[in-house]
Amino acid sequence: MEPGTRDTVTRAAGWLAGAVAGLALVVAGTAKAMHPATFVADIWSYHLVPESWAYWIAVFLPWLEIVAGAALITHRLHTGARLVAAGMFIVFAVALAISWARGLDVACGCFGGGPPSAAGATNYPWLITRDLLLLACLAVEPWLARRTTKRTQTRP
Amino acid sequence: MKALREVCVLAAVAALPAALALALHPELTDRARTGLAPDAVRPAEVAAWTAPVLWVDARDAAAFARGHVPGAVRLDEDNFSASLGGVLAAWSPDMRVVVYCDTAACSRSRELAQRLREAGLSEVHHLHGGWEAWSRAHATP
Repeated sequence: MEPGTRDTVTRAAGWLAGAVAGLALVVAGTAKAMHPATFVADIWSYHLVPESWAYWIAVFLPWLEIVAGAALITHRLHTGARLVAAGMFIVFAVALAISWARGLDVACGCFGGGPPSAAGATNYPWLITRDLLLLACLAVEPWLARRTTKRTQTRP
Repeated sequence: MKALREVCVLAAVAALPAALALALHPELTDRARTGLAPDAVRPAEVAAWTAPVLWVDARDAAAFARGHVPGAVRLDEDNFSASLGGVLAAWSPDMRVVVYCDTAACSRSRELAQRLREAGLSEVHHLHGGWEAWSRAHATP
């Protein structure tokens, strides 16, 4: 493959990986923004923040997800968007891990879900893995960009 | 520095629709300001429900005998499994359940509400202010 073509493919792959994470954020944020009261209950089920904080988080976080997700998809303000998205995925994964360790049966709230369908039904391994996979998507573009830079530097 | 600037811009952009959402949901602002738990309800809110309500009394037997919400079923925290049968006999899936104890300072209703959810009941709330708040709301002049 020609170096120029390879660089284009690499850039496209990096954008696509970020766009996948961005799309997940937009969908999740929209679902939560439509039902803030349900999302409040979901946040509260983790018992990690004071009750009053749950309301402010429930109102602000979905819109931050939507805005950051859109920025990832359109590749605008993408450095900041990657930082915001990475922070969110890390916080979500840590919150799930803490609830799992405590033996709580939480409503994930990831996509505006509401309560689990049956007692003990929170699928922690899948939820945490999903967050880590989306986090990995964010790392693809910088990693590929670094590889491209190294390749360009070593090219005769 | 560039990343931080971009984060601030994203946060500012997100704050605009969030502020609009708050304006569209004034009840959330009210509950946030009063620190009301998402599963807590006030007597006036319960009165506005159209769904049937199952009242669950979390107080001791003596308090229940002195007075309780009409139709309430008593749930004994120390004898939960045995007294749960009485709650389940009175419950149906279309009902909303409201657990109450003495006052706002009492946490028993909140704990029992959680145990009822774990037992499989849905739409379980606890009454903010307890029996005291209900009595005040229904006091005859």
